[in-house]
Amino acid sequence: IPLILAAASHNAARPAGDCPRRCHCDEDGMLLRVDCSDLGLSALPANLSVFTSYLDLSMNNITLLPPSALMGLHFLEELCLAGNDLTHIPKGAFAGLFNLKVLMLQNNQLRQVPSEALQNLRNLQSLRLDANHISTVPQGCFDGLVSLRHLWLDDNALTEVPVSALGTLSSLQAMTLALNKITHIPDRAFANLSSLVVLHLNNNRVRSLGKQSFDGLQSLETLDLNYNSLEEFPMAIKSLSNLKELGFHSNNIKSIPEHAFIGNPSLLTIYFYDNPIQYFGRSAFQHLPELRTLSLNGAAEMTDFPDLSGTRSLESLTITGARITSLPAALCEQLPNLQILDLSYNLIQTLPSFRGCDKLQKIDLHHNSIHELQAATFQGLTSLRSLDLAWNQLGSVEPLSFSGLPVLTKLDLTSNELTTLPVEGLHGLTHLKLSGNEGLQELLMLENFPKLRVMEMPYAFQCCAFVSCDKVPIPWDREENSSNDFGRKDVMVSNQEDHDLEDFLLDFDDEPKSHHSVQCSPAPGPFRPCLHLF
Amino acid sequence: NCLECSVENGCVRCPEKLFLFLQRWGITHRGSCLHSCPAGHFGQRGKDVNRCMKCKGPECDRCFNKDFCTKCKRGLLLFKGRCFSSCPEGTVPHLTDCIEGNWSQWSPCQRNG
Repeated sequence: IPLILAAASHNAARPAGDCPRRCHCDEDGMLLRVDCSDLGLSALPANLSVFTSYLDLSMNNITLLPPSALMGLHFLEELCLAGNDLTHIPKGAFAGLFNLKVLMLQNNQLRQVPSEALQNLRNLQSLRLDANHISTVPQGCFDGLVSLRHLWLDDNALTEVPVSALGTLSSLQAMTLALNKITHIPDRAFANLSSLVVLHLNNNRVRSLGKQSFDGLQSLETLDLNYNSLEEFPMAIKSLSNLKELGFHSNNIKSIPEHAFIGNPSLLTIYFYDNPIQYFGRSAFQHLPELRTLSLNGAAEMTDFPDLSGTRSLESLTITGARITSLPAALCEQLPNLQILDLSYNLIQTLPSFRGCDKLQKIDLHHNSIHELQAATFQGLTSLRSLDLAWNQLGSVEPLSFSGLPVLTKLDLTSNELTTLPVEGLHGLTHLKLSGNEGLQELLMLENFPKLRVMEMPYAFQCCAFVSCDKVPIPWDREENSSNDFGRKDVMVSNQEDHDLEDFLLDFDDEPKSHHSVQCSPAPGPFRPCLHLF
Repeated sequence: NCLECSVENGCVRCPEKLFLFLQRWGITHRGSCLHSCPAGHFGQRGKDVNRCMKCKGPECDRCFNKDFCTKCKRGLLLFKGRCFSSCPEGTVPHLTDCIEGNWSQWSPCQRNG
């Protein structure tokens, strides 16, 4: 075909006026791109140029494609019939379209795949049949499509995987069967699809899989089983050695077994939230050297921290709502690339040393049972910005516990049992929360916290150090608010909405404002004078 | 083609089966309902709404999902959902694609001889 085009372009100019009435045409060298979309057409336009390479007939009212109607369009590569009223496509409708690469039939009224019409489209690469009413995919309907790479059958009425029809598509690379009514995936359902890279099965009713449902899919990299009714972990994935992205969130799976992903060493992401998962095998997430994010929430039966050996690239680990009582001493040896660690809502009592987690930026340990901090616990965390230890039982905190944290800006120790706060290493804080520590009655020195902006203290008088006690501006006279003679910062008394907004804005404002204001609560006032009454 | 619209944002709810395409319009977005999404986007169907989503790479002209390209921009070559300026090892250029070479280590025995 390229040779014919080259010859044609030199010898004979294409007759002008080949654009069908009311359609819009663009020239593409010798070829013609014809747009007849949304014209209310009920039949194919007449006198289409043989040099038409792209024909858009979408969003019309075409109900019938007569056999051989497009016979002469040997250069046609793309045909769009989306959004018409086709209920049936007869044999020969696409006869002569030797070069057709893309055929769009989505949003029509088809009840079955038009197998006879598709027979000799040997160059077809993309076939869209999505958003029809297809419940039948006849055996052999795709047999002639030797070049097919992309197949859309989503948003139809399929109740089972069309195993036999798919059997000949060894060139297929991407397929979606999403948004159908498929309830079961039999063994070897996709056995011949050796080139398939992407498979979407989301939003079906899949309740069960065979042990070998995905055998034969050696090229598969993305498998989407989200929004189904799976009760068991999909063991059939063990044959997918090239799998990179796996989704089975929003199902009904209650546990993830030992060695669950032993066959999938290339996994980058796994999505499985919104499952009633109560238990994880300790070895479930071992040997996943490419995995970056792991999020386990609400596994109430889980008492042991998972063994993550061989999963060294993990950057974000979240295990909340389980019953973990302790962490492995070798945590940071196993996870040297960890950046975010969220172990809130567990039963952790003691902490190991986090030395070796040099990239750790955020630690959430709130709502645990931690009762002491040692000097070595957080030593060496040169990237740590945020440390949340709220709602624990911290009574004993060694003096140098926070000394090795050069970029720490947020420390939350709300509702613990502190009686004193070691300030070594906290000079960079912008947010400090200590409310709920009834035994902490000491005054904090201004000079120890030069960058503080948001403070929550157990007692109002502890805010006095950060504000001039005699004049506490009320929000509506904020315009008069300025640094007073002594250069002290002014506290703003704000209600909850302002507080959140302030907090939100402060998060985005790395550089301290020239006029530095500290938001300290509970703010001292007429009935909470800044006199040390205790 | 629109079920619900507003002066500022154009269409905000599309009929079933159509894709809502949100286009940036100054500081706002304007919605329109399409049967297939424009270049650089793919149609993502969902239970409640169908939306046009961006293909991941700027080099991709049309994609199956955000990570899997089906047609690269002019001058680039497509191989298994990715766009390349030159074909990866074991493949050879063919029109707008890279195909597995005759004798590459990974090519299936499709050709005789």
